[in-house]
Amino acid sequence: MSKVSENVLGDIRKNSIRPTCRLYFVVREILFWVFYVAILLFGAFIFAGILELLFGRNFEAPSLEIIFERFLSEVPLYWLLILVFFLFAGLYVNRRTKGSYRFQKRIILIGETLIVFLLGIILYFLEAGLFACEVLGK
Amino acid sequence: MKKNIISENEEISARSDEELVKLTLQNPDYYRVLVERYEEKLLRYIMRISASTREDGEDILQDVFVSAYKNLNGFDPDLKFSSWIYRITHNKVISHYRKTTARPKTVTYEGDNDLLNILEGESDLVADLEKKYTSGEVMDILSEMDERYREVLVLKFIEDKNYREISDILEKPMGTVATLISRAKKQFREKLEERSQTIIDK
Repeated sequence: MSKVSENVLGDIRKNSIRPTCRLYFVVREILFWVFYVAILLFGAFIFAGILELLFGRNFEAPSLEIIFERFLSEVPLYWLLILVFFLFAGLYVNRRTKGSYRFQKRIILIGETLIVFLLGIILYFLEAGLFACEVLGK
Repeated sequence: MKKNIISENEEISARSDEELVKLTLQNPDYYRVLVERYEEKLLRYIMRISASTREDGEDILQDVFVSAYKNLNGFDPDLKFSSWIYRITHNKVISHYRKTTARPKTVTYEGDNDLLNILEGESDLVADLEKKYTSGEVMDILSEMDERYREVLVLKFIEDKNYREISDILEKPMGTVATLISRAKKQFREKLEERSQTIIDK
């Protein structure tokens, strides 16, 4: 037996080291994914609120000029900052999941932005945008 | 009796790493085979990417094997065991230098001629330089290189890892690995050329 293997096995026996149970790794991975999905949902909720401020409830498509004006006057800057924060928090959590390193960071960021926008549109049509405005104080 | 023990040892040695991981989870004694299979490779790898002496390298290595043992249930069967253990080693080397002082700026290659021979033999890397440099000069150039470039050169040309394996070890996308290798080769060439220019000027 080599010196290193002798030391390693000696250390394992002496300190009664045992492999961490499989459940720990499974639960940790699940928690990261749950946390990730929650972050994306929060982001989508904020985006639904932004859509509510831009389009209201009359479903009439205003001109781009009006949308831009409303965007500047109605949407608080901190909402946008919170949205960006959630996107980067999502990236941070995603990087801790298994196999995430195989994707470029910008791909993950673009992907989750698209998911947030898509979920945000769905939530807006489900009238969650109104609720977002109430919760976020607008 | 003795014959049985020998054939049993041979049978265990012939097992794949992944099978040995499963066996180790049932009986820790099987871990010895994995440790003996990887200790030399990993010790050389540690010494190649860091400025460790053999003693320091062995301490890091012991830490690597204990940590790998603790996390054996977290081993991802989608990965090769070698990629997984090299990843743990890479992370341990980084945390070792975070704990002590700064990361090494230069590396010594005491008794490590493989790296130099392979890099000198890497045709597309130094063919245009007609092998006019000594091992010592190549060694100096490597020690001047950025750590991340030095490490990908070691993994690609010495440890003979493919892009997928390097990606799994360094936890970077394959595209990034390809870019790093390309930049590492470029930096290696530039440093060789600088040296060549200095010699001509003298």
